[in-house]
Amino acid sequence: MNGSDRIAAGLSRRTALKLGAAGVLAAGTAAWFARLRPVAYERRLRADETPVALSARHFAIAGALVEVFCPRNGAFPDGRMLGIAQRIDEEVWSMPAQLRRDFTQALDLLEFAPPSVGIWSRLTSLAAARRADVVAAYDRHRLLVIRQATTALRQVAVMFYYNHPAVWSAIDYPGPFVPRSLPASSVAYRNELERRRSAS
Amino acid sequence: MIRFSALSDRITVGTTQTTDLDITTQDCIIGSGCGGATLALRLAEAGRDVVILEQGGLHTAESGDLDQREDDMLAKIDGGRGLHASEDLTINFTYGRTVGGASVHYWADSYRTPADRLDMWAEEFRIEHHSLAELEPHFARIERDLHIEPAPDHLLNPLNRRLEQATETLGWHGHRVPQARSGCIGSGYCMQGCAYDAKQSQLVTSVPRALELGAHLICDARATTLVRNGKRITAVEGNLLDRGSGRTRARFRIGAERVFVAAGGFQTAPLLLRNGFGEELPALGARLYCNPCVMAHGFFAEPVDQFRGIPAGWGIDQFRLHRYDDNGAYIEGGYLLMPNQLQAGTLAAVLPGIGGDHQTLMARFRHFGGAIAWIDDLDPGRIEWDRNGRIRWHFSIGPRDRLVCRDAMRKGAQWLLAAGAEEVHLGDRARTVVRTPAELDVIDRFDFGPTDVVLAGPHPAGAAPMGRDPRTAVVDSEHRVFGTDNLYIADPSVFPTAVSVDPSVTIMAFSHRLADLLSS
Ligand SMILES: Cc1cc2nc3c(=O)[nH]c(=O)nc-3n(C[C@H](O)[C@H](O)[C@H](O)COP(=O)(O)OP(=O)(O)OC[C@H]3O[C@@H](n4cnc5c(N)ncnc54)[C@H](O)[C@@H]3O)c2cc1C
Ligand code: SF4
Repeated sequence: MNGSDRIAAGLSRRTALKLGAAGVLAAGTAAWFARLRPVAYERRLRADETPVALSARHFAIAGALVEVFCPRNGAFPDGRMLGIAQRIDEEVWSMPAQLRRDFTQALDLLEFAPPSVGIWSRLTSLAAARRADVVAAYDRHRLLVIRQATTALRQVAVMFYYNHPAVWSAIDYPGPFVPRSLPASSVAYRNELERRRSAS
Repeated sequence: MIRFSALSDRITVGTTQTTDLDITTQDCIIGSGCGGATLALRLAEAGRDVVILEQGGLHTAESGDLDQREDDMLAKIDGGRGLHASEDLTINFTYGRTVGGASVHYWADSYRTPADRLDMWAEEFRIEHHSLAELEPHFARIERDLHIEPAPDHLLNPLNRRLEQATETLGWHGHRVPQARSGCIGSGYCMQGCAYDAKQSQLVTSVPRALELGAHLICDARATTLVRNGKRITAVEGNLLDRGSGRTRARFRIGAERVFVAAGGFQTAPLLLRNGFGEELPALGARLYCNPCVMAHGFFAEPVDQFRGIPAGWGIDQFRLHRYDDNGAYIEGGYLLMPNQLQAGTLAAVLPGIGGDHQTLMARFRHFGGAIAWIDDLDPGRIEWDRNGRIRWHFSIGPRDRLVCRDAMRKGAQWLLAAGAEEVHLGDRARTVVRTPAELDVIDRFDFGPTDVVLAGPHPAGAAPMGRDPRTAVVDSEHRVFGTDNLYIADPSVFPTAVSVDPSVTIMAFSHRLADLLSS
């Protein structure tokens, strides 16, 4: 049995208790808040990462997920190093407020849901291999809301990853025929990012 | 190449506007897609003073905006930047938010409305004035205007060619798909918007032609309010948006004699609901169709380069209609089946798996080629404008459509295997892979529930249907919203069901018909 199978087995035992999503999360979240000191999420950001739309916590969760969805692997470069977490921040910056709220709630859900698969930790506190097992278990989770959050984050991360030119040689994709032209929202985001970086 | 720069005196770009706009026109059209732009052209031809409002930006080949990158282009032209989905995430919705609307995204498959569908609408939904005979001259004009021809050999990619041959092997019936293109070089980026102005989207056809005839386009302009005085709409109000931040820069008010809502199948009903029409018209928002798209992904030993050439040059129409046995039990059909075309980001999003497993699949990108079926859905969803002012699209796969989805996925996989695929990946979370037709029974266990597989919904219809009775319909057969004198709908929201083929020609033909009805 590999790690994710163990987690999945733990999950089916847990769901056999017929805990609802709220129950699992409330129990788990209460336990962490009781046991863990606040985490300095800023320290989980890379030096070249600057949250603009997301809080440091949400950015760090997005980064931890990018490491799972887009790892360094043979010819495939590390998605986090390519700036995919920053690109997710950009996307959130362009979202209407309601969608932004849904998105950050999904990030929190995935951060605080490891207890629902038998792991008493935040997602961002886990070592990379363990985190990957947890996310694989989320992908098969009995609770729809966790599967939905995992699917949504995975789709966003891989969309940006495979649009990064540094990934194209790994998939033998020759790339577009015309030069890049950034959308207005990207230009505005980059200006804001620059402003914040120079301010700090 | 279309020179929008030469038409700049007919265009107001909202994102550069700093003061409020207050203008008066005869006809105000909300939305510049197939429905709105076609109507604008016809009204401008009739000498009417026309204003087209479009909430998206003007993105053109001339200015190099159409850069063939999926994420850039989703941000520029897609209604939800690729992120909108049904409430339970069963279906990802793709639709337009740019001058030209979803036709800037589209594949350019261009079918006339099947006669059986028009007959059904007339008989079951009592729709008048839209028979095959009445639409025939409009189909002919659309085909002429948009250079619609069956796909030629040289634009077919290896995947299309293999699937064309496999059709014969299986003894199925297929056809070269009629395509709206002129000067296409088969780049493969139709879904990202054509950088060569070859795809005959509304951006390069009806919009510039209407402008040449004097119509006025206001882009980055989101209509929010239909100002009502008794039975008349007197003006349309809304916001001029900053394209970068999405924030409001200024307001606009367009006084108009007639107002046409052509905001597209996912947006028209919400605009009317927001303006309170749901209280009088209970059918508003109900019966939303979207042609859920089921996919199967073949892996071939040789590269099939599905990301080049045109998306679907060859298609299977044999299964378009649902077939039932004498007892009414479903046998097969209820969809069109086509080769799929996905660029790398989208293929990655629809293939299951995480991390290294997923990368192993993606490493074979050039060898993946899929089949896609648009389901002629029977179990509609609904659109809600909730108390917080949020649009909610409720759509799940119902029991009847589940059977059709299974059959479509089975046929798609069978087709790919017959075309030489070594494996077919069904895209489910369990990452099922089949290698022989005998293994396809596994599909009978698929539910097509949320997160089970990725489904797309690119062809909205309904939610403001045409009919005779305001208790069950929203517009009459002349497209006029019940209870109003001068408010019309000109997009697929008025269709009582899905069309059973790609809808763009039907949408345009209905707008032509509306223009006729107005002039008579
Ligand atoms: C990826 C993809 C591929 C497709 N391929 C095909 C194909 O091959 N063949 C085919 O026939 N069909 C295809 N379709 C479907 C087809 O493109 C659409 O059905 C058609 O273009 C819709 O036209 P429309 O006028 O109804 O709406 P839209 O094209 O959606 O236009 C509505 C416009 O109104 C604007 N709008 C909305 N609300 C407001 C507001 N409040 N104020 C101002 N403006 C507003 C929107 O921004 C939008 O640009 C495809 C669709 C997609 C997404
Ligand atoms: S395939 Fe043809 S129509 Fe489509 S984007 Fe390329 S050149 Fe344009």
